[in-house]
Amino acid sequence: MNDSTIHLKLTGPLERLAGRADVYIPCVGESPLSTVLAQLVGECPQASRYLGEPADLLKPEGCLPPGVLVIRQGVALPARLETPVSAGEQLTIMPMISGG
Amino acid sequence: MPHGNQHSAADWPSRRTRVELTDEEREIYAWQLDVRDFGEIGQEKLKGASVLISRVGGLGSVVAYELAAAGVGRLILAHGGSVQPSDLNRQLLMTHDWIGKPRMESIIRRLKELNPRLEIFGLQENMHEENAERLVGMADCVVDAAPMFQERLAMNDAAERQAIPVVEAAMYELEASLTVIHPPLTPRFRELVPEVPAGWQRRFPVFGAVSGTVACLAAMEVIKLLSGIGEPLRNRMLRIDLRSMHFETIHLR
Repeated sequence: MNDSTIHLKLTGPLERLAGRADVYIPCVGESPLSTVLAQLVGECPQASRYLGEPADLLKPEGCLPPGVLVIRQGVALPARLETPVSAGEQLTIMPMISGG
Repeated sequence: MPHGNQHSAADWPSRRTRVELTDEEREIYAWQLDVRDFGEIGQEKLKGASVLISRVGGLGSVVAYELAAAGVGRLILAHGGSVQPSDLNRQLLMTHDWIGKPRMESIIRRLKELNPRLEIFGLQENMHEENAERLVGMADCVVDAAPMFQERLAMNDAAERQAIPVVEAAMYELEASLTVIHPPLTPRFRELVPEVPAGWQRRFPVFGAVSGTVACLAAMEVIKLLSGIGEPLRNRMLRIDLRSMHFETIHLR
């Protein structure tokens, strides 16, 4: 655990688009989820296919894009983008999949 | 049992009820009758049940095979199209000699080889908004193994209206997910997927061993739901990463 970053684990097609499974977002204290995801898209622009553009993520009262789960300590977070995330935490960003 | 698109409305069966076992069935299912909390009553519940499987491809074919082996009385199967060469790495009810011929014929033939007592209602079309209500209405439990979110949404909407539990199974590359959707006991599927996600593509990378793994787990969830044993994945999602062999249960509520 690094207390100056948030560790994002990307899964499934999001990992494939980003080209890596682990992304570390600089953070001091805490940030809203919207900022964390906008920074992720800034670092991995291909992730916008699932997460949308940073400007949209940062809009007030925004929601997670459809079909994306954000998991913290084994619990899926509510869809609200204002959810605070603390430095040192790990989030799993999981697009729902439909392979049958 | 008829199959294909030639079904008239009168052909569509109603739900089954619990049925007593024959001596032959007691012999066939002897090893699972010994499972704790299951027994002959559990087996009778499986025999009296109808399970709808949406798409009988890589995932759905193994679910169907396991449920046929377990003694579920009736399978309602929806899958259109003909067998393609690229089906054969994972769609285990298709055979090389059936390439170019209707998938449903191959599916029924293979399932009947395993369990000739099984009733099958096979529809040579995929799930969509127009047929979902009727297909779900014939089932006690539904397995969602469709590759397109449009099909998943149509079937879950119908299942929610009729209060039928859905076993949601999916895969991508070496990953898979599994949960049970049964509102209001669980979140609605549309709480997880409000609309078709922008990023998903029809063709996805997969090994047959991945679809087979999650399919066996999905079949077990069906058996648990129908017989009442164990704890189905309500309000929980199993996330599987076979690249690292990491299995994680996520709490959805």
